[in-house]
Amino acid sequence: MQERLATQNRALLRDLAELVRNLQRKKVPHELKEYRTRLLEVCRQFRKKCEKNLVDLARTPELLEDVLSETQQVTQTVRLLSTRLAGPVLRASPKDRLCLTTIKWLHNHHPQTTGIPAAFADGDCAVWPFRLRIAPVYFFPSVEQQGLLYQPLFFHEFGHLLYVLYKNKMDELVRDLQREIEARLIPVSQRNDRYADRQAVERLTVSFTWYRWTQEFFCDAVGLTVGGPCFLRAFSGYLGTMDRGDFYREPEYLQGSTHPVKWLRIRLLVARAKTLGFPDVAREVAEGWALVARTMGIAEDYHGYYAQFFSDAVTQTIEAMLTLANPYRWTKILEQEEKEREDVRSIVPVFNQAWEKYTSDPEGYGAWEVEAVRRLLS
Amino acid sequence: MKNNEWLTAESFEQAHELLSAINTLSIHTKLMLAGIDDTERLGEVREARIVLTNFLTRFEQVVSEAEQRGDHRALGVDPRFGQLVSKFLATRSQWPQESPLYFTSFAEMQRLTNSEKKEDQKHLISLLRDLRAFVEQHAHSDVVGILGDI
Repeated sequence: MQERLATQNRALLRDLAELVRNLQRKKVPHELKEYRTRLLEVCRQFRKKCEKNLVDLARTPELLEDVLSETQQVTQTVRLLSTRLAGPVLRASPKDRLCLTTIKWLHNHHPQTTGIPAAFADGDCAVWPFRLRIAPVYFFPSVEQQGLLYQPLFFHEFGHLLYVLYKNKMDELVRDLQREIEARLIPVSQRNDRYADRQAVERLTVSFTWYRWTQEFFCDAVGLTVGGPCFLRAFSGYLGTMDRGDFYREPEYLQGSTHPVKWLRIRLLVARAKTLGFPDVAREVAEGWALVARTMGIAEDYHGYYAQFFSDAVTQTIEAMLTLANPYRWTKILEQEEKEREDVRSIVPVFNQAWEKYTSDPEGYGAWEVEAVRRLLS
Repeated sequence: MKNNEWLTAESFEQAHELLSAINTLSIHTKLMLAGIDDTERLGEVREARIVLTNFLTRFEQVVSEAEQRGDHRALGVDPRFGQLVSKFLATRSQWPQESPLYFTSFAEMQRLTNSEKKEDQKHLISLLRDLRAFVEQHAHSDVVGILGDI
């Protein structure tokens, strides 16, 4: 076993050296350089770990199980670097600059994330909010990467990073909400039979489902707070596949689900958008979804996973989470001021202009976007 | 927006941090016990103790909350951590129980983690061994979630 572990650590050292060479050799946009530096540092730390493993193996056989576990950790990390994390650098292209600019702007406009490198890879919208050794990696669909319209979707993913940074306090807020939902679901009069037991289990299932749901609602709210109308339009446009499941799900699919029903997410966003001062866009989006629902003959029903009698508790929790994370807040006034100053540091006005242009002049949008992106990146 | 990848990534990273701390402290304790100098690792050992102490504090808190609920599941806890707690409670209720992980109190685990006394070291080593096996087993699905399976 000793020899096998030594061989594995020597192989890992070779892999890491190769990875370092490839990372250094690749020409990358300047927005990606910090991420490459971070990856090189990770490689250096893990090379050190391998070297230490080789030393420890020679010290005493007592350490075999520990070195085995350490070797497993390094192996997994090298694989992670090779399969996913090095991709943003090794496959970097000048076309990545728009997404990198969006991520960098988000990180730099929040004191909690200033200095965190920007990186993304192809994929459905997602984030791996690594914060310890590596750095968060975002995923974004390849077609949407090149244009301005869907960039605001990064704001939602950024919400997941904010959650991780305040995890303990966020979890406490979610716990209080789960307790509140569970309490409010208890009927005024209770039976003392098997039906009552089943109801108790159902209440538990609903409150546990709300752990993930709350985080998604929080991230939606972060997106809207940061981006304003452009986020609502991007979110509605991207999520709205007009699939029946976007509007209604059977109870067995709601149970323990990772994401709330899309229609419900839109409803909550629309309600928030009205309070943030863009009721027209909110109405337009709400009507669009309602029209599809009516056409399919779908009535709103969340089978107790969401009800009006606990909506105020949900809203209050999301507000408290936003207060804690304190994201950049879009306002009409701020946008106007930034426009007047021609403040190129803010990307949000550009995304809002993009949606305005796209809705008012779809034919002329393509040419406008090319010029807007050029200005943004210059 | 994709299937809660954030949750898998977070759990993967937490498990790595914890396992690294367990290994560091275990190696250091074994070397101390064998009378082999390990002063160069002292900084890492200090950090490892902090990571382990924080983990044990949080774990105890969630275990105690879960115990108070009939279903052994705590609220306000990410589902992966909640599963770790549920598994711990389920295993602890089995009899006979040989692993010190399940019959050592959390206060004692914390004391051992931070103890330099020779008489505590053997106990600490076996405790860390069982904790590592428990965490590694749990972390497997995150590893597959992040790295995939072929």
